[in-house]
Amino acid sequence: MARELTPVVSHYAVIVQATYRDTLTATLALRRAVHAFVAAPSEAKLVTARQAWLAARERYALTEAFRFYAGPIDNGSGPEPRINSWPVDESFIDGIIGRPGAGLVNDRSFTIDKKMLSAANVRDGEENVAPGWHAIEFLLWGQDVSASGPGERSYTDYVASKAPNAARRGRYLQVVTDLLVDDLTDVLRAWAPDKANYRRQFVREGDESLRRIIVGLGMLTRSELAGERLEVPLASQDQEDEQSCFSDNTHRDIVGNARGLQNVWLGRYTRLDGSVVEGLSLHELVAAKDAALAEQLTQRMAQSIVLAEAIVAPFDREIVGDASAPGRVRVRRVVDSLVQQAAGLLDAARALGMQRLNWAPKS
Amino acid sequence: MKAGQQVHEWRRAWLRGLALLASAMALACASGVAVAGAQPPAASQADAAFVRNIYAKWYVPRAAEFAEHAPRLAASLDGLCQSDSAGAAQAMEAARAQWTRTVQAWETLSAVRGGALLARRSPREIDFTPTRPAAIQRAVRSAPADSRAMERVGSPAKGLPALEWLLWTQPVRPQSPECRYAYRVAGEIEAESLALQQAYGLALQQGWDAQEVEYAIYEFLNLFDAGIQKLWWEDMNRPQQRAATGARAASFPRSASGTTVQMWLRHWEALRRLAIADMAAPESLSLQAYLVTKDHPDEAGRMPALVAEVDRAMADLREAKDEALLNRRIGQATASLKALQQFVEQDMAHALQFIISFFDEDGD
Repeated sequence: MARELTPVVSHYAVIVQATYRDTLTATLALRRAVHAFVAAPSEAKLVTARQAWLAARERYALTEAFRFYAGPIDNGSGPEPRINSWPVDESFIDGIIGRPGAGLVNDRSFTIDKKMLSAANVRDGEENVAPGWHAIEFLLWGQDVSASGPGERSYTDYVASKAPNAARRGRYLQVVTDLLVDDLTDVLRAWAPDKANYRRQFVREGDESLRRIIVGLGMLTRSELAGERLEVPLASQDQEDEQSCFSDNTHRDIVGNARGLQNVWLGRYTRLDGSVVEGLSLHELVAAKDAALAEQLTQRMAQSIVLAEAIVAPFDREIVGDASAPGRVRVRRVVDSLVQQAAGLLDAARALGMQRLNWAPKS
Repeated sequence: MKAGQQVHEWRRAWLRGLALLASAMALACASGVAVAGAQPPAASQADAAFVRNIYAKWYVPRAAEFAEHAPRLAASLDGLCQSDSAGAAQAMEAARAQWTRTVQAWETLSAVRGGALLARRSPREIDFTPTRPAAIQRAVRSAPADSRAMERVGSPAKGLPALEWLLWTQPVRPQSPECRYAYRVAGEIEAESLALQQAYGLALQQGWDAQEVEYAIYEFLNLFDAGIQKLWWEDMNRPQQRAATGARAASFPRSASGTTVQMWLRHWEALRRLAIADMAAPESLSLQAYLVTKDHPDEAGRMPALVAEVDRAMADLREAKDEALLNRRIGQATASLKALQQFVEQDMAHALQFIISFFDEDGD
């Protein structure tokens, strides 16, 4: 392993651990809010739980820059499908307009516990999502049938005297939130310092780990964010292709992903408590080979964030219209910037002497 | 001479022939793309010739074929919509036959989705899968009157898969709103085909500077690799896995029209033609010849066996008479395609020093 890689790879692990730690902290706050809401449902407590979801989600979006290289989150047996599967067929979870008795919530033969909900996930179809961020989101907001705002689920859906299966709905919400905490805890454990875990091996395998870091950045930039999360909804103009469709929070998912990419590139992360984690970065490694290229990529990443922040919520309205519709133009600008960003990452990889950056399905 | 030596001698002679062929191709084509005022090194000439060939011998003629069929598809839909009850069945048959021919041309052109196909995101525009029937029904109700109105219709309700749904799954009736919508969809496909034809022709006319040549080769090699992966993963293995979990929408592409295997064979035939040199056609374009030009005869020599394995497996698919047998044989096809992909990503990428990278269809 080249000597100069060690501190860069080590610091990457520090950033990963800090970001997952903050995500878990925010998700624990979500769990407290959810349990308080289910214990005594009220409009105020529902709003608090929704705000906690939004805050935790803001952190989680940053962590997606640590995906796509078969790390602890998505290595085949990793928990990512339980954490963040989408799109969600909401009728698999609970009743919807026209089918009020649908879903696992209303199926009294189904036992609502962690084991059963894990087993039910994507059973009989990829959209049959049972746990994870978007299951919780649906349970907090409900279906989004409004053109101008998010779902408008009433807190009374959780009040036994006012809605069928309210207690089961509450239990479902609690269990999937607990499951999310468990899964994030496991991922964090894999990145804990000074343990015999994935992180230790990752730091040891400097060259290969550096490749993984760039694969993660490139895949999220081009294939997932620009491709699946922006170009597909641009093409389809369909809410079905919007990630956080119940809460209308997709615009923040996009910004969070773009910021997570920048955090890795610059080796800099501002924690929940405001403290800043800084250290040797990929940017510095590339700059040592090609300073102009590194600077260009830094600017491009900043530009991608600015353009992502310009997307106007709700995203499902932003993608609709003819080619000149202002929302579509705004989203297209983000795509174009991300495509340039991916090209810059490719150049960076070449500057570092790498040859293979793709992802191949295992099966 | 022992049998093994005989084979060895034959292979060397064959590779020498291939090398001469490739050199001749490089010299013949390089003059048209040399950068004015500077004679590029031999390797650059070969690269420039290869890029020019990709366009002159592949994309431009394949785009022309697609642009020839797509207007006929629109015309056949028009004929169907105008037909009376006596001629409806025949008109439907003609429209279906023309859809099949158009998709064949599309599968060939889009097997390697480089250049204008990538820049215009054409596959997402006119070949979005899976079809979303509810989106099509909404689009029919909106009765888009012109191309501007069609811009407001999402891709899952347009393109070749949507037309397949309108011709086979819920066959349109003449004089109906559904038929008028299908005609509009065909018009969009025609417009895209003409735009692609124009874009590839313009690219060839304008040529490439040295940096553009480097990028064009990188793009082509990566998307050739992606074309192999699309066939075994997106088209075959993934739907099979979805079907195994009982997913509601699990089916192979083009299954409504019964042309699944036919189109897989088209896709493979396109990749095959780009992979292997045709000794009977000295002007042909191939990665194998390019490898020889770049002085990698060993890698070039390994390609025919890998391609032959895929040929055999794909031929077996054609012979599969029922779905159970097809499902079993898909395993052989994916294994041989994966072996070819592994060769491209490891041996060929190493030999040609190109980076295998991320493209827009790799997400989860």
